[in-house]
Amino acid sequence: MDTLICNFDIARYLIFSNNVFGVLIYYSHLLPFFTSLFIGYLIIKNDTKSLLNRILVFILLNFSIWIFLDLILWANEKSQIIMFSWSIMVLFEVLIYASSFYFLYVFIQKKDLSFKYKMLIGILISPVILLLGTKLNIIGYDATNCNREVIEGFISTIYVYFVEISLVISILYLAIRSIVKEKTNFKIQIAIISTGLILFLVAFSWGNIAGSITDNWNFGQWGLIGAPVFVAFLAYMIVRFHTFNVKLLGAQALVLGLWLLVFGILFIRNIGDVRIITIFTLALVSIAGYLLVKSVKKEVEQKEQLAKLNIDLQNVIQQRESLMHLINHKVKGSFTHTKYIFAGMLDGMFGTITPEIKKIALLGMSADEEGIRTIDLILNTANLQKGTVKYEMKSIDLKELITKTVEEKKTQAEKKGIKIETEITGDVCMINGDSFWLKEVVNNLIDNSIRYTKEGEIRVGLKKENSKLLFYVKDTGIGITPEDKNNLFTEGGRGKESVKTNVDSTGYGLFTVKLIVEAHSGKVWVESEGEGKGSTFFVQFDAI
Amino acid sequence: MTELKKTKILFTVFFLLVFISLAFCFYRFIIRKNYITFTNENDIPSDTDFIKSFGDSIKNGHIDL
Repeated sequence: MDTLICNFDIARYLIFSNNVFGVLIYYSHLLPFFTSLFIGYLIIKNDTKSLLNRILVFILLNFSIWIFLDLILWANEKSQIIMFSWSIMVLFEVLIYASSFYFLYVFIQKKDLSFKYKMLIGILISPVILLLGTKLNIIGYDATNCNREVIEGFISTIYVYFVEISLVISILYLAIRSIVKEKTNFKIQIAIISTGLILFLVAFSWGNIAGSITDNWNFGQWGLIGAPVFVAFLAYMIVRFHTFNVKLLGAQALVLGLWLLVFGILFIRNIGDVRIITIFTLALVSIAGYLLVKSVKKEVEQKEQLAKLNIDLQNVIQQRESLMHLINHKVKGSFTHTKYIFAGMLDGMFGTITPEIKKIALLGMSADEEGIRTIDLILNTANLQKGTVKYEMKSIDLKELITKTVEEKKTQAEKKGIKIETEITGDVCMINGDSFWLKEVVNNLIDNSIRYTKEGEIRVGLKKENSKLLFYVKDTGIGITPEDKNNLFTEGGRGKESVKTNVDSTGYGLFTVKLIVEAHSGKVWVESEGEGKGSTFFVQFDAI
Repeated sequence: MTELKKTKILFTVFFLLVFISLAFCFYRFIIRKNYITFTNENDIPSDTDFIKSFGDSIKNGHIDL
């Protein structure tokens, strides 16, 4: 009867008719409907076992059903279909809210909701389920005007809002409490996911909120478009946080959203000549979208491969370090053992020895000491690199430390016929540092110069430049080529010519110097005019 | 009874109720078309009316479904 009086259009496939108010209703419904189903499909396709995935898909399914039912209300003319759709919509509405709470709980707690809480939620929404088809939910059909409306009862007008508000408060409480309690970076993830979830619910309920305030129900429909955007955002964020195993969701959702936006324009009536342009744009979006998804997929795969290789590499490095430590300790133990045997021979512990044997014992002991020094250097480098060295920082006089070290090195240099000169200016040169390790720096640089200088002299200097102290070791040695400069301060880095001059070079000395200097907030560099023209090593510290 | 088993029973009962409820709505509204059609504006209860009648029904121990 109502059809005849109001002259309604007969809907095809439940939802296609001219009864809808405003041309954009299909756009605001079909777009989120298909987007939600597609996002849900992507999520479940990648991991069906994850509880979080299942809950999110459940939310999306309920949302899609709700949207479809809403579209029926806009388009259909039959009162019985309107009564049926209207009556069951509230059920899907509360299920969306309840599963949103469930989703956030599982995300934060990383475990399933306890039976007690599930029961509580079940009890809370059971009146909606049990009274769905009764007058307490919808009273009857309003045929007094041509608005095709239903007179709602207690459940639809009061109880559903009570349930929804309770669940939103619970979501907010859960999120805020977890953010306050959480000490790690996980709190940022909770904040982002909770915001996304609240925005989804606000967008979903926007129709009711905006409609109640403005009385403009067309305006309210726009929230529906926002809802899947926030679900896509949730899914994307969870991908980033590696909770889901969904790949490329962001790019795929973006492309699909764009495609549906253009596709949706075709549903607008009176589109006229623009239809051809829209079809052309749709084709372009399809091609560009396909290429975009393909390239993102490739990038994601490469990133995953890189991440895997990185983990493998870290493991190999760790294994190598452990092996190095073990070998070094064993070798050092052997060197120390033979060193004491040679020392015992020289002390006469094994009886009187001939001058020839004494000479051999001295050579053996010297070789052992060199071996122990090399191993100490490698072990120290490994410890400095790992950061296991604890520096005892205190104010020390760098001038005194350098002078003492130079004195100790003079004999070694004189044996090679090299003269060591000091060029130290200024009375007090105080810095904040660890004297043991700073001595290693000075020792290493002077040692280096002695080794790579065949004749000539070494100048060790220290000068104050404003608030900085510049320490340098200048020699007339083999010099450094520009190519070698880049390798010099790296792990195991050596100059090409250095191997010829010093066959025992480990390549760890200057690397250790760099690590120690940088730990003292200093700078180290080398200057050389080239091969055979000597070199100058500079170290700069902050003066105190 | 384990937590998992209890949850399974709860979900089974829950979805069964949902299904029955949806089936009931379908039967009542689509098949039987059993609902009031208001043709006179004066017959439509206001929000306060139905809350009052709902309260009265509870008081009388009878709820008109």
